[in-house]
Amino acid sequence: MSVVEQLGELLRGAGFGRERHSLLTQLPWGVPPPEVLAAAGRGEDARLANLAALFQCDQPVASASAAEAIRPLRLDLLVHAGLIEAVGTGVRSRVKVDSYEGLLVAGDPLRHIEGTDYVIALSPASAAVAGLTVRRPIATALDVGTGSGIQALLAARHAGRVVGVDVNAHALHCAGLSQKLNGMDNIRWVEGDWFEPVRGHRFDLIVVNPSVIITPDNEVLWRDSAVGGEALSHRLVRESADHLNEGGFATVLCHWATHGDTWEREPREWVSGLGCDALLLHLGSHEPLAYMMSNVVDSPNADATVGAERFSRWARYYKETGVEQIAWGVVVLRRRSERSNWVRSYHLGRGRDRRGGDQLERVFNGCDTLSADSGAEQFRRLLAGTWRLVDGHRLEQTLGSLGGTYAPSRTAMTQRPGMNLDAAVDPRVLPLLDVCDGERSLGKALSQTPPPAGLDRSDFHNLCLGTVRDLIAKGFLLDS
Amino acid sequence: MTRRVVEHLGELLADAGFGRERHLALMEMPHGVPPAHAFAAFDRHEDARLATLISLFHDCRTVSRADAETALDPLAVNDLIEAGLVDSNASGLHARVRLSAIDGTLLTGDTPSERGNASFVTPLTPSGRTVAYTTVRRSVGAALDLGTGSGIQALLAARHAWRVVGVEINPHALARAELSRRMNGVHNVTWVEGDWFEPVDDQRFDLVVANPPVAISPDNTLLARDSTIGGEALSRLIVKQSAEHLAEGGFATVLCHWARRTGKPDNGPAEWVAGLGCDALVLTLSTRDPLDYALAEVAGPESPGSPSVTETVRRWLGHHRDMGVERISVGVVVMRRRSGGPSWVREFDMHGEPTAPAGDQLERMFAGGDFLATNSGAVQLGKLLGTAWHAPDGQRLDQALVYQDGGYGFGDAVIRHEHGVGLSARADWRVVPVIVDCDGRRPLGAVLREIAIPEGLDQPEFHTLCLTAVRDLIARGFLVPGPITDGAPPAAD
Repeated sequence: MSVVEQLGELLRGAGFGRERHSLLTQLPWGVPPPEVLAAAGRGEDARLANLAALFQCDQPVASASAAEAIRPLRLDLLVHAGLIEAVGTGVRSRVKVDSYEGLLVAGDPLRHIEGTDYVIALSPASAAVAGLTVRRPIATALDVGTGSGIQALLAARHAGRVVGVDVNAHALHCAGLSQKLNGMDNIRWVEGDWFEPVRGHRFDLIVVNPSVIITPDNEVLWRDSAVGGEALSHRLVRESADHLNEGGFATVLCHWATHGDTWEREPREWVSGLGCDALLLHLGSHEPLAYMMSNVVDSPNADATVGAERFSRWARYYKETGVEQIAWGVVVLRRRSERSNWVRSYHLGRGRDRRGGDQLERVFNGCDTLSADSGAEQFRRLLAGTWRLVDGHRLEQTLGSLGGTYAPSRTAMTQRPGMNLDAAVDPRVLPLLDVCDGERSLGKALSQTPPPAGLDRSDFHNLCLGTVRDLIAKGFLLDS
Repeated sequence: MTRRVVEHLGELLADAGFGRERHLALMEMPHGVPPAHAFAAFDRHEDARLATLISLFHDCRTVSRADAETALDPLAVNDLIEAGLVDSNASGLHARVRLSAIDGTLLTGDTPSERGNASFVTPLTPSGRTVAYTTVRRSVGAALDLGTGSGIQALLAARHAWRVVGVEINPHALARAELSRRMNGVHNVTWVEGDWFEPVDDQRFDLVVANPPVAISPDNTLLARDSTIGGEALSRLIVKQSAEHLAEGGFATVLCHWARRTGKPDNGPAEWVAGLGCDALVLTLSTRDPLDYALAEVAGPESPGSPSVTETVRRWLGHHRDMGVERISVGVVVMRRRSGGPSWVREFDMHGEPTAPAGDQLERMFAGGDFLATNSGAVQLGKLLGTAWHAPDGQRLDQALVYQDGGYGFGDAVIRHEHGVGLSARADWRVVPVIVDCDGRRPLGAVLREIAIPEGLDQPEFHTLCLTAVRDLIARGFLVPGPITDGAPPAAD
């Protein structure tokens, strides 16, 4: 077993990425120094604290403490493997190790952020992409712009073979470390520009988490896209579709400038005519200054004038190109060539714990159901169908008080963990939904539910059918 | 000259939006307030000016003289230097006082470079905010701020008190408090140097506010943190003396720390207030183990990660171990002097620090506590059922049901305010229809008669469940007596 693999086992064995580790990071000011833990009678956590200081927090650790923490591994082996280096009277790590969903991922320590080939171990964007990827057992998967390897590693758990592509050779080094830290062997790393190394190949799953921030710059690989503005997002969506097997899914992170008051016009144009059904999932929009602030990770070493210069250059670019709002989100494609394709767009709520693979599949099934026919035919089919609500979802109701009276201010169905795609529900439809238990047809359930006061039967039925369609399209109501 | 500069600076900051909504809006941008040059690049010059002022006076960074001059115009930088508010060197201008604000009141304290001085003054601390938000804000005659620091509680009280006295043993803090006073153009506050109640020993007040240094520690190095007498003795003493200096009907808010020790009975604020002639609410904000407590209390003022913090935390942990301390609670004791009749005390757990002024809610809690304490048995039941109760404005009731095996499993409803004191009430889902029907138009008895008894309960069981929930909501200020008449605005309580 290689040193890296042994280090991975050691970190996992010490509780890295587990509950004990996250409890330590939740203390005020983060993981405390080992001597503080010892004084608190929690000496057993001191080893974990040393490992976190070294591999997660970019802190130097005294050689003796580091040697103790990594036993039975030896410091000289880790130095030889390029994982740590001597500094002063101690050692510090040359890689940053983060954990996600039980996986260890390797990137660069924060002190290297100035480098043009800097690799982030785990970013909020990669967590969003990971949480909006379909996780079904498949043969082949492709991760484009793999960086630390995070999407490839996650795919390797449910795919037979995975290819990870990156143009940054140093990223492939990090991704290779990540693979070894987890003792995996079904991922192959390939250097190249986007889809270029896999021309002519098709995959059951494609995940693209590219550097698509919309800026005038092209200096930092992980941030700046080499082709201007949203042209890269458009191209990656198109090429993902071209490289999908029939029935295969792709998840592509996109950024684009929006025009007018709708965010969905541009991605709708991108996905038309690709031979894929498409979900456009909007994660957020910012005006240019807030967009810059959220995407520029300022280095602790950067001096203020560099910042000022960049701000005025970017501001000029946004002004000249007339950008008022920039949106970001995820396009999920599923290749389906034999019929006309559907497109749906949703705005997703915020939230860190996004694990929406199952809900995504339900949404695709639901949208298939609704696009199979229309008009009177669909109406008859919906009424004849027996529908059931998905297990584990929550019905959340909030009432607000005013003038002595509580009135409903929000009623919605939610799935957590999931896509953070909620469905608002008119409270008057709840009695109908309560009898959607998968045993009687919707038509029968409707005829057995009396309309609420102030609504005649036909208005009530229209209200109910609108809700039913929405719940099917969002994966809350299933065909049984 | 100096007087005019300080007051002008206060006005200029207020006009620029410092400590006001605009400041909060900038703080909510990704990664916090953007640098002034970022706003300038996007032609947002008003925001650039505010960002410069925040950078100079709140973040205490060096600002170029040109930027500072633009932001401070029409004030002359040299006047500010002369007044001791800023200083200049080759790289630009930096502040000699740090500024914060709470609800539009400006506060002055020391810059981070002074950190570690025994007399260090922070303009606004989390505990200062907590105390401010848990103070009853009714119009009163005389108010006392004990251990005033930057002057925060005194200046907030000055808005609704005729006159305010701020007492402080640290003369440097009094100088900061005076600067704060002038910056806000407040004229009804006097500052007195002295040890706790000693300078006002013969006086009584309608409001007493105290945010004393009561950390339970072996140290006595920072005036603003470390108690001069051991353990919770100072918390207890100030609670007692606050009660003794309250006029009849007056309110006091005191921040306290108290410990639970191995093998010893709990002896927290609920015991301390016995026999003081006051009704009291004990609001526990947090209860932590010694490690969590020491890290939060030490690293805040002393900058986290430094060797001195590690050393101090270790010393505190050793002290807590020697004293058998298992857990330490931080909370606020709110008292109201009421000499006639036996006093009552109620304890509540908060979730986190208050997020907005909650004086109104506290007054409702006192009214609720009075109702529940004045009568008992059949008399109280009669009054409870005969009163038309309703929810005050701005409360929310949340209920989440989880769907499993073909049906919704019911869970408790949670009632709280969106912003305010971090207090909530849980109610059994079967009681929710009763709570919602309490609209101030019908007495509770009528509401109960009209509600269907839920499956699985008989009538006495259901009514017991409802009455328990209603009593709890009254005690927490979430239900108040009506009546509400249609078309008229809700009755003030």
